[in-house]
Amino acid sequence: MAVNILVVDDSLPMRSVIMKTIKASGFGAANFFQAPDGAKALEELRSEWMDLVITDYNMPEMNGGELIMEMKKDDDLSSIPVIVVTTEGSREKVEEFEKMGADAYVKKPFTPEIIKEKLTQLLGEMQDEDSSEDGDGDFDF
Amino acid sequence: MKTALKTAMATSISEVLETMFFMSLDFGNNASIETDVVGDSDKVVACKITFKGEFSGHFVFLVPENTLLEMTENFMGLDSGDISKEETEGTAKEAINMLAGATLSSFDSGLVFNLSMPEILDSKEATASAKESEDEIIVVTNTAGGYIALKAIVESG
Repeated sequence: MAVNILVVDDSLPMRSVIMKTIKASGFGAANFFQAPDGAKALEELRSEWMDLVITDYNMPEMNGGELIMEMKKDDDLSSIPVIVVTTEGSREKVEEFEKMGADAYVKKPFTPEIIKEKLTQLLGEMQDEDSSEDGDGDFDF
Repeated sequence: MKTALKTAMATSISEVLETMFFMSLDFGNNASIETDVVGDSDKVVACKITFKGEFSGHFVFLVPENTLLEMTENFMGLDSGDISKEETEGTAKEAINMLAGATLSSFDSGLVFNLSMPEILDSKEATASAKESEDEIIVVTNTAGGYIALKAIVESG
């Protein structure tokens, strides 16, 4: 069964790289949706069911933290798992993401193995014909 | 602090360019921005990001346009003919975002810094930023596609 994944990042190349990496991680059958900031992401989330949100933190209009907080206030969106993908690497920031309600955190730069580990953790195994990587990255909170 | 920050910058360049852009690097010579990064290039793209925290300042990433095109090809997995200006500029912005984040967390992961949105400098600002001064921390690196530079300017702290 295909899953719907919303990729939120103000960088067009980074959205493209994240989607490419997800496909290479065994989730090639996923349906991808994109948004350039948190506000547009909320519009997408309210018009289409998503199984997972992968969001950048540092974005204009509404950042990734504000997006998560808005999702947690909405009964229809609060159970959707969220992965924060960001350059923010301090321990304090990581703890802040966790407190906000993020389900996982991936630090840029990342490898396909790390993305696969987080997706599998949140969505379960979903190997398909596009799968090409098999890794065991260690990137828990 | 200057030496530790320069070491963190070199570490982050290796981490980011090798992991996300699949570029091999050579830090082994005394290259300069003016001679090696600007050199014979028609155009050098300069991208800036500011940081605020325990100490504040900004980073500038300088890359010849043809090297940036190769970085974008590697990053997005596209052929150069299919790449738009928005994509090359977005790649430069994403590169400096990752370089700044990786540098600061490599310098001290216990410190919190807030990064601005990256911006592409206009040609006048890019020319000015290609000049080197003693109060800047500069790392110039040779990639397979040409030289690139990362500068840090600490303004307070």
